[in-house]
Amino acid sequence: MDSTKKSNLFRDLWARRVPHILGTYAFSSSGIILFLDWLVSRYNLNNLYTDVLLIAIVTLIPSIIMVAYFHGRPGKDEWMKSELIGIPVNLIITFICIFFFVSPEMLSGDEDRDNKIFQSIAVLYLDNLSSDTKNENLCSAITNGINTSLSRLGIFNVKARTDVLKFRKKVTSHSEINKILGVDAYIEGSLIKSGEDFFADIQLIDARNGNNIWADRFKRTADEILHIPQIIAAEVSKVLTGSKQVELTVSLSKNKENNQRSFSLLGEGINLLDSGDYDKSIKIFDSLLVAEPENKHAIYARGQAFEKSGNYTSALQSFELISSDSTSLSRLKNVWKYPDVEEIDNIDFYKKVLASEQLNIRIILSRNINTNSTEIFALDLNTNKELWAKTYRFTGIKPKISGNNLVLTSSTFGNMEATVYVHSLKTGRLIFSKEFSKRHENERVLVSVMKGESLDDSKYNDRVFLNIRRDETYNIAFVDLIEGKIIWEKTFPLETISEGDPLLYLMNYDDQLYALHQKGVKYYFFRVNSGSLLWEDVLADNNERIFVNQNKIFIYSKNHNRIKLKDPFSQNIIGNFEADGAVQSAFGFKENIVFQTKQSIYSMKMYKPFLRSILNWKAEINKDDQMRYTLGINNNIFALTRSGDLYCINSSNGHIIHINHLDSYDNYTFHTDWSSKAFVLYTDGFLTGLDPHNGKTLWKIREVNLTNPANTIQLTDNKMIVFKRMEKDETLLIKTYNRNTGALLWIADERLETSKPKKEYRHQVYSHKNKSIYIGVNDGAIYSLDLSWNPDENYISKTDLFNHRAHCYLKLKQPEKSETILKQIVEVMDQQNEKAYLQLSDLYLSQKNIKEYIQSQAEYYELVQYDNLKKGKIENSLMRHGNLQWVKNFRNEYEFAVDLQVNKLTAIGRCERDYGCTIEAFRKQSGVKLWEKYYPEFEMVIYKSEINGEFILVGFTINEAEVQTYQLIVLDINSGSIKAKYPLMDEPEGENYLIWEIYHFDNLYLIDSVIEDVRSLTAIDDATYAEFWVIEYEENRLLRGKPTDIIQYKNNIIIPLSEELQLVNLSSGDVEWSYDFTDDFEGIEYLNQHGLNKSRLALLSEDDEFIIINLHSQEVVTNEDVDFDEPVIIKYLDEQQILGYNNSGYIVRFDIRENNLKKTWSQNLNNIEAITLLGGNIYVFNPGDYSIGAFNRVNGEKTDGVQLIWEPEEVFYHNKTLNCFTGRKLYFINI
Amino acid sequence: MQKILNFILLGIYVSFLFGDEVEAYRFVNTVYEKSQMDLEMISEHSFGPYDYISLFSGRLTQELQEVNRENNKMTSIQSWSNIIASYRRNDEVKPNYDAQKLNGASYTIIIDSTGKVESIVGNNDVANESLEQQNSMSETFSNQNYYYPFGSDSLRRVGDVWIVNTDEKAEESSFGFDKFEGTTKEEVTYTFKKIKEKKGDLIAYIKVSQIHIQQGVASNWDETIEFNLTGELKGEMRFNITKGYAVRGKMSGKFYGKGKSLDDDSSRSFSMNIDIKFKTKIN
Repeated sequence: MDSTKKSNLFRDLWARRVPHILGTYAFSSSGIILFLDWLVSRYNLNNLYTDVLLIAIVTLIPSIIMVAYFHGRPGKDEWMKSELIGIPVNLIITFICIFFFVSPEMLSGDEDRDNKIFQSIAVLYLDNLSSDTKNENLCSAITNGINTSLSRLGIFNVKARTDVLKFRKKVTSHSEINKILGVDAYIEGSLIKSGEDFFADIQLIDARNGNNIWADRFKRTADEILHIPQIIAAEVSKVLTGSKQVELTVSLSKNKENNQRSFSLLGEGINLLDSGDYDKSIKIFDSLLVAEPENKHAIYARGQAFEKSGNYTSALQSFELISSDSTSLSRLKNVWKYPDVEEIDNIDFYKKVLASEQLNIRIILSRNINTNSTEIFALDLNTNKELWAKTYRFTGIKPKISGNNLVLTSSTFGNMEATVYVHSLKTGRLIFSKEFSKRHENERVLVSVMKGESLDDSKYNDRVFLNIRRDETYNIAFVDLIEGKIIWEKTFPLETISEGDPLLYLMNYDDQLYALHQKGVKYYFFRVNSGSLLWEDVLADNNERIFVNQNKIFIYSKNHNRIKLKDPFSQNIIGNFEADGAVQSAFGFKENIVFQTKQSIYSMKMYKPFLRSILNWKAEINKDDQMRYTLGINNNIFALTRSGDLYCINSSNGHIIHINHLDSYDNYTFHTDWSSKAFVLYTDGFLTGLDPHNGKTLWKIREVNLTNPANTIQLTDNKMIVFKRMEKDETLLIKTYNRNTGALLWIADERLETSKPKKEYRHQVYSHKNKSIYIGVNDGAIYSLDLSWNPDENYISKTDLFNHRAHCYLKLKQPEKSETILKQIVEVMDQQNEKAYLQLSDLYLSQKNIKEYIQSQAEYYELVQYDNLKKGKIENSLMRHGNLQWVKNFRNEYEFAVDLQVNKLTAIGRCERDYGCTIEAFRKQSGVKLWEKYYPEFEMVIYKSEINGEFILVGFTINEAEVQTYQLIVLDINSGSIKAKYPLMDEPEGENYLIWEIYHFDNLYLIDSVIEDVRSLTAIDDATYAEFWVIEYEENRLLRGKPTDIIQYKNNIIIPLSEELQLVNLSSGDVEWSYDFTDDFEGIEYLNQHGLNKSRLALLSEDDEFIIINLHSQEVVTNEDVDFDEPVIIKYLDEQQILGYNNSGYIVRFDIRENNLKKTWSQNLNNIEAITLLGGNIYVFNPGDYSIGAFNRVNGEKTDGVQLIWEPEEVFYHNKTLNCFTGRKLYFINI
Repeated sequence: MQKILNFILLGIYVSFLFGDEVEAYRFVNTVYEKSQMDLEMISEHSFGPYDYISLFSGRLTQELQEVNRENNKMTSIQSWSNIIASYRRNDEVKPNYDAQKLNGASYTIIIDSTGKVESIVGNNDVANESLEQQNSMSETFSNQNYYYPFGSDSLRRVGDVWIVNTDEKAEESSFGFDKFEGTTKEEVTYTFKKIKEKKGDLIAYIKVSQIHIQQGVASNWDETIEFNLTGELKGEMRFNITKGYAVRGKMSGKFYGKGKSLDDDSSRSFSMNIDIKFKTKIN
């Protein structure tokens, strides 16, 4: 009966063509989904589209069935009641499902595009809407109060009240404010009095687009109105930074009337000051100060009034009253000291930080060299009290915190056996110990804690995995700390290709714990509880990598583009994927994996969704560029490219939010607290603040020579703290910056009391939970650092105050004091302070101190390079006052520059390992770039020069076996294209190949090179680059380190050797004659082509003898001692004169007169790095102040001089013009 | 490099000569009031693909301060002058200002009765700074004997070859590591090649060949490294037998080292070629 019914139903459905329609629906839907999925990946659309479509297709099936059932049969097309109700209901359900399954996060993929960090803010004067003009005073006082309160937060750069004065009582657009004040947001509002109450309407406006970010109405009585500024500042901070409610304390007198009066008087004084009635405003401030002599705002405003009225002495008195800094107390507090001070010289402390954030415990380990013992101390970071201490009577212990335990391992050394000890971090109790004995006398056993993923997860606190390495094998031991025993120990062979740490990844699946272990190319998967091996596999080669994320294994190679995602439990391949190149790196980001090739960044799911791609998105960078480094912060992926572009990519959809063309990125380190609030780049001696929402530059400050930046730059407690050890006085300089604006909040010069000698002193900074900072010194002492910055309601921006003081000193004709103050601002307090830089520049110009002017401009230039407008202004001023003709800035360090004199070009180049070299050529006069070429033929250039009008380079590439293959390349100077290649050699391991010089004689190039102890002279044809001949000599490095050139003599060359001069035929390479000079002089110090005159050769011997040799007879015809007075480097020598100098600044010339060698002149300059002879001048470069002096070659008198702008690595001279190359810049100067 | 420097520095200060027979000589230094050594050195360093060359020349002057007749200790002052130093990386030469700062550095050295260095103290800031930076300097000075530059004062004849051999096992703390277990082997071979008379003085020509092999495993807090270091130096010294001091010398050699981490099996190597030359004047 039932089967008949079923059969009838099926026949009925078939007759109504329901299966046909459903099949067609399924088929066409799949096609649409696949097409949409293709569109999504092709055009980088949001994955959301495919998800929505899939949900719709599945949930609409009931409607399809209904329509098919009622209308599938031909001829019957009436709409049924059930359809009229069912289909709309189904549609509603579909919408609900879409709404339910599609998360708001997915929908808001682009929201970060509009997000940003608000750095700067202006407070416009509140409008008085009351009829009572007295309320103007309240408006001014409230405006001033909001300004102060916002400054006290230390979050924003708040524009000074005087800067916003121009907008008072004017209708102004947001764009005008943005343009003139350069702020991100501004506050405006009004005050109205109604009865006894005041109503303040305040708005916070986004200055970029005029959007109202926040607005509120405050109703306050006359007594309460004083508190409005603090409330508004706190609200604004909350809205703009997303931080919690901020409390700003105000200490008011108990007398409410006095408070009101002071508030009102301050406002009145400000009003008078702003309206130019200075005398009256001074009187008002005076009366206020009688009642409140400590009111800094009144003193400050009074000073401004004096300054405006031209009474600079009184103004200074006011400013200096409030300039003193009373916070000289140390910010460091010693929280722990090594107990035995007597023994401290024998103690070696563990240098790294051992701490458990979960338990708030820090471990200090020390080794006593005298007693050969190891001491362990546990410190509670909540109370700063010592929890427990232990001593072991041996050394060689390696510590590791694993979960809630401290694991101490040791290895075999001498008679000692390898051991492990596990202590509870909380109590110090020994939980487990074990010895791993040697199997034979000479066996070496090393015990360590396994490294890897998830091992520190609190879930696995009671487990430790050990690696026990022996000579041929290694074991992994699983220690159950609850049972206090080794559950299992597995043995693995040490493979040939085994470079890399032995790693262990733990995975939890179905309440079972599994582990993936990798060492070298082999990896193993086993069940943790039983230790049973489930499977093992081998990577194709040591270029293949594995990465574990979300219980899946991601396998990629640095050699090819194929990627596999493997399920370790089923051993199935979840997905195969081909990237657009070999994968350089991969990391887990949220629930996905992000990986990069040289050209693209990919985000991939850790599962294969139905009918859709495993790929979330792909973001491509500029085709001419290459990816260098990627990291994920908050919702964004940041990718730094080889050319210095920082891409900010939305991690949800792969959209590029912003590309920041960083002006500097050499030796970069990125610092972040992984929130959306702090992202800092340290490179090339500069700290650059970046907006984590979009990667835009927020600020840039100079902090040179920060060693170990990962430790010395900390983003803690919403601040950026920089630690710098001052070598001179052995103090630790701590600077704390506002992380949004880069302005200095406070600076502390701390002296850490340490018994360690200067050279042994070390310190280590530890940021605990991003909230507090500890400093450990290697004498065991630990200090906590007070990070607080809580200025009171009397706070006045020190920078503003200093600006005023500098101005007053300048007006009082005390430029030195003004300069000192301004330098303090730009060097310490606020390096981005444009006003101070302008004041300093004006000061130098007024004094005609061009050298200092150029230096200050050059320094500021580096800080504002990210701002084209400011950069352009400085370039203009340097053109006016510094002889600058043009400057090219490079975003990363170029290694070399070559003067291509024939074509009046300067070529610069840089090389990178595993990439190649890039060379660019610029026209000297105009700075126009003529060409830029990439040369994969070289990974490093070891020689470059213009020879015979050709651009010659020697460099090498490195293969996988680390063999360096050298070749010589000749470039076309006008295009950079390769004209010829000449292979040189493959450098054997452990040997060094070096080019000493390449010469051009007649029609051949002569390559003078050395490999180990063999010097080779290789002659090649300058047209065909075919080899002519090769001569080999025993290398004498001491001779080669001196300026002893090979010179041409007729159709021969003369080769200076250790004990002889050899004449070699240029065409054949045959030795024509050898002249052993050891009976006449000891060795050659200087020899150059200039020394040859017909058949007479002049040179300088090692014993400073001026020698002339008759080459016909091979006899010394002149031998005269030269007394240089000081040791010198010979720059020029011929038969008539000798010119020498040294780096201490001594320069001397000797001449031959009437067969006698006599000193013609000498000069003692400050410092000489190099000298250049050009025409009748000697150009001397002084590296101390980057100046170049021109001296007459005949009499040594100074004829000219020029101040360079940025410290050059190379200076190329040409007819009173200079091309200077700094590595980061190429600039042109007219002398 | 320290050992080579040491090798040269030792020759110039003190000297005695006891010629028992016509053809046999002792190489013992004589004490002079003042001596000057002009030193030139070039070293080529290589770490992976990166090479650089260091060039140095300078004058080391030694002035005798006093000889304590009770304990036979000798105090002298050494000072650096005339220093010119530079770096060469590939084809670019730059002044080495750090090395040039040594100009004027002065040290007081006390040598005990057996010829070993008892102490070195800097007499000025530059000297103290250089001692701080080069904490192995004291070891350098103390390793060699000031009176017997070529081993014991046994009689030597032209054609003699003698070897000074050191084979020691270092088991405890070494090379800045917490633990070291391994061996250091050093062998110096001297060959008395010839003797010449120059300006009335007898000058002995001695060929020197030195081999240094060090291997072992070192460990500190965080890493365990297995390493091998080999060095070979060859050269010639001229010793003024009549006046008892090393007149001039020339050495060249190569050091090669390879280290392997026993934690992650990664390995690194370095090599260094060095050439040194000196000549001494006695005042």
